[in-house]
Amino acid sequence: MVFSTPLFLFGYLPLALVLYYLVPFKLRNGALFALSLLFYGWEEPIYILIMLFSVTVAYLTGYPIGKYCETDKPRARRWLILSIGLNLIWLLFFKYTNFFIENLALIPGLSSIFKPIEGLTLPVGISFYTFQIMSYSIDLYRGHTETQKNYVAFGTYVALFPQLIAGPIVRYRDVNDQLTEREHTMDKFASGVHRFTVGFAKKLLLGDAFAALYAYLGTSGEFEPSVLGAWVMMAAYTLHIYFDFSGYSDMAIGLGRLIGFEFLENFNYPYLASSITDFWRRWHMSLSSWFREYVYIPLGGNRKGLGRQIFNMAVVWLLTGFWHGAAWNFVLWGIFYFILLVLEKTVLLKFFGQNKVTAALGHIWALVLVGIGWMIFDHTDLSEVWVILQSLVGVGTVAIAPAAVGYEVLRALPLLLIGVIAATPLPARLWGKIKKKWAGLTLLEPVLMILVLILSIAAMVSGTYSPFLYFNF
Amino acid sequence: MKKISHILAVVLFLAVVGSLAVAFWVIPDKAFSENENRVLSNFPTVTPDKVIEGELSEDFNSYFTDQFPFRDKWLTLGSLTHLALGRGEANGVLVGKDGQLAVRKFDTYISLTERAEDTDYHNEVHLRNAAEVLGRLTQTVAVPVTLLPAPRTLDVTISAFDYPKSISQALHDTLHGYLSEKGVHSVDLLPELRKMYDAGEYVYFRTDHHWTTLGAYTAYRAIMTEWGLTHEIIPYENFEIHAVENFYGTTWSRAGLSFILPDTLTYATMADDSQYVVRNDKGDTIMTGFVDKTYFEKKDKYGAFMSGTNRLLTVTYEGDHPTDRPRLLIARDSFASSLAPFLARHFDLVMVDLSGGMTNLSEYAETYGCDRILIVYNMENFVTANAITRIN
Repeated sequence: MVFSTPLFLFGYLPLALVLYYLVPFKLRNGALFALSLLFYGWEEPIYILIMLFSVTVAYLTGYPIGKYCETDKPRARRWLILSIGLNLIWLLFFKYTNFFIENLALIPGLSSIFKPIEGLTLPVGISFYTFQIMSYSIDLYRGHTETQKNYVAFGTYVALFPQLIAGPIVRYRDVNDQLTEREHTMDKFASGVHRFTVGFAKKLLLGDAFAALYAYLGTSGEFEPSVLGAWVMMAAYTLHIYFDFSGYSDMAIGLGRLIGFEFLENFNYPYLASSITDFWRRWHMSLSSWFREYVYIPLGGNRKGLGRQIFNMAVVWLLTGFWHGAAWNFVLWGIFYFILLVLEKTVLLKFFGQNKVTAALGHIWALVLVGIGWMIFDHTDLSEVWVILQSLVGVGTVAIAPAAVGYEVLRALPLLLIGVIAATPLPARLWGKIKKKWAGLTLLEPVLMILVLILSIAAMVSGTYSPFLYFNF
Repeated sequence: MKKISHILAVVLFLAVVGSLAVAFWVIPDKAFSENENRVLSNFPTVTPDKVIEGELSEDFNSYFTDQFPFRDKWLTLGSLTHLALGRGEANGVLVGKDGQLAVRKFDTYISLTERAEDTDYHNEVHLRNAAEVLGRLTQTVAVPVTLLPAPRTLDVTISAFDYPKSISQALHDTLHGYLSEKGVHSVDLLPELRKMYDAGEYVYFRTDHHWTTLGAYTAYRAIMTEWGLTHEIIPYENFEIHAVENFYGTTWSRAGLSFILPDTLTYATMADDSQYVVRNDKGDTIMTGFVDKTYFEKKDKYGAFMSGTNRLLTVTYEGDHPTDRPRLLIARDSFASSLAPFLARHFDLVMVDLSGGMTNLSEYAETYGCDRILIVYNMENFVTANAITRIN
């Protein structure tokens, strides 16, 4: 179930809140676990079994790993490998099998042997919950946390509906305490309501509008590639994916607070990044810190010399690319970032740090390359990326600004302006200042919030509007 | 103060979410949406099969979507948000002067089978193919063929919008360029309709994509002139004009802006209308005259002309003064529905629906012994449909 649907907001959420707050605290995890399974199994009833299997394996292996992690490391390690193996195998199978089959089939003579498996659909959220489960087993092995003896509490951690299908990837040790004890206060609930509304509005008012602009310019580019079209198209996708994804994270964090949980932040104004290195400290932070903590540092991080560090980065970025999807463009996207990050590490970061002008260059560099990265990210057909790259610099048979594109961009100017400002801390800072001056505005805040919620609901309903008009043609 | 603000936020949020959640259960379900012209989903029946297949989620999703409390109000607010966010259009529909609406973005054929969604570009190859097919038809069929491409609302009413005229003109010029290149005999109505619209004449609807009865009459006059029958043209004043109020057309539905005012639909009759008999493809009489008034009770009022969409219709004069009238084959889309009543005064008609797959024109012309073929087809359909290329 997706948060931005009438079914979630007016069906599932009220039901979940009422049930959750009706039962006594002791049973709340049980209620949450059941509700989360309903949330998940609703669309993928069969795949519930896979999730429960992974939960059970990690839960059971948690005992020996916890028991031996201090006294008998090799033994604990064997259990850890078993846990990770049985957990990862589903992700590998569902996400990557057909990718490998399809590519092996391209080798002459093998196409008759390798046939893609039909009907193999990716269980929703598997990329996220697999990583969450692994964080438990690994932290346990490292002695960073203790064995969870309560199955329901552990199951609740994995299946918790706010973060189940699109993150943030919550590390076990960050919510461990909250699983047994968490506060339910009016202030927390109110901040959850705020946060959810902000995320809901980001997705429905801005994310979807930029998606439409992006789609329009993409089609225009197929008919008539142009410089203006390519730049605005890149900007539109850059804004779309930010508002969509960070909006979803906001909704998750907000929903978490409604049921007493506090998750770590997942975004920190990524487009203010002063370099690509900085960008990845601000974008999808729960994923990049996961890879840093569970892949990069165990491989030796930067402690074993530059050569080894570059190798470690290569591993992390190939995996990061591949995690986003089983297709070559994602691999290329990972390699793209690997190269940029190595360039920065060796030369550019020093250069950007010289003075204000070079620092500004760093911002431009980061923004443009992140934009180009998104074009690779969103096009499985790499020849299309090539056309976009040519259009950006005006090479080949490329128009400057065709009338239709110019018209659309002109219309989208207010939207683009709002989007650019909303992607910075400016609105929040400004509102904070105004509130300080006029304390009475504190009371106006909830009213404004509800107005935004109502507009977003209207946008959601509009999005489902599908008149059948082709009866009179 | 902060405390009160927090309480207020929680109370308001729960009130909005809660009251809508309750409204879902309290307000009776609707069966049909006239605005969207489709059947709405009802409360799903729960069966074990559906649960296991995961189908229940789809059913519930469409139930919650379709039965949203006060859906029309929300839709209007949503469309207004779109307009306000500076997009100046709602669902691909431009909003212009005096409440004039016009579809701007179309789903356009980019190859023989594939369509690009929501674009104002057109595919030149697709247009050239259409012109080529029509050119071949002109050469092979024994009777004269005339094409009447009905301009789009956007083309006629361009002065009501800040939309670049060059884009509208480009489609027109490309199409007519290919038509004359392939030797297709066609009537270009755009300059005259545009001039009339700019002079304040009601030639196209504001809320529907069709021409009005006056627009259709203008087309009739142009065709008759083209065929050298100027002396037979019946003056507009000779018709009795009837008005039907509150016509909300297809463009209005697509835009979802309920505050846009409705059109007035008019139709033209003469005293002897009941002596014209309309039959369907089975030879059954479906009506006499040209207007099926039952449609005026419904939203789709334009459907009154020739009783909506039919694969095949014949119109014959069976009145007091039987004459041997020439027979005209009209291969058409819905624009011909309001044009036919005028042409029927001079010809017996055979009308076939191109969009309905009735594309074997040479065969129909022969079977029905037609003396002429007239193709009435909207410019929009030239780019968004492929019926023309299937003509043989």
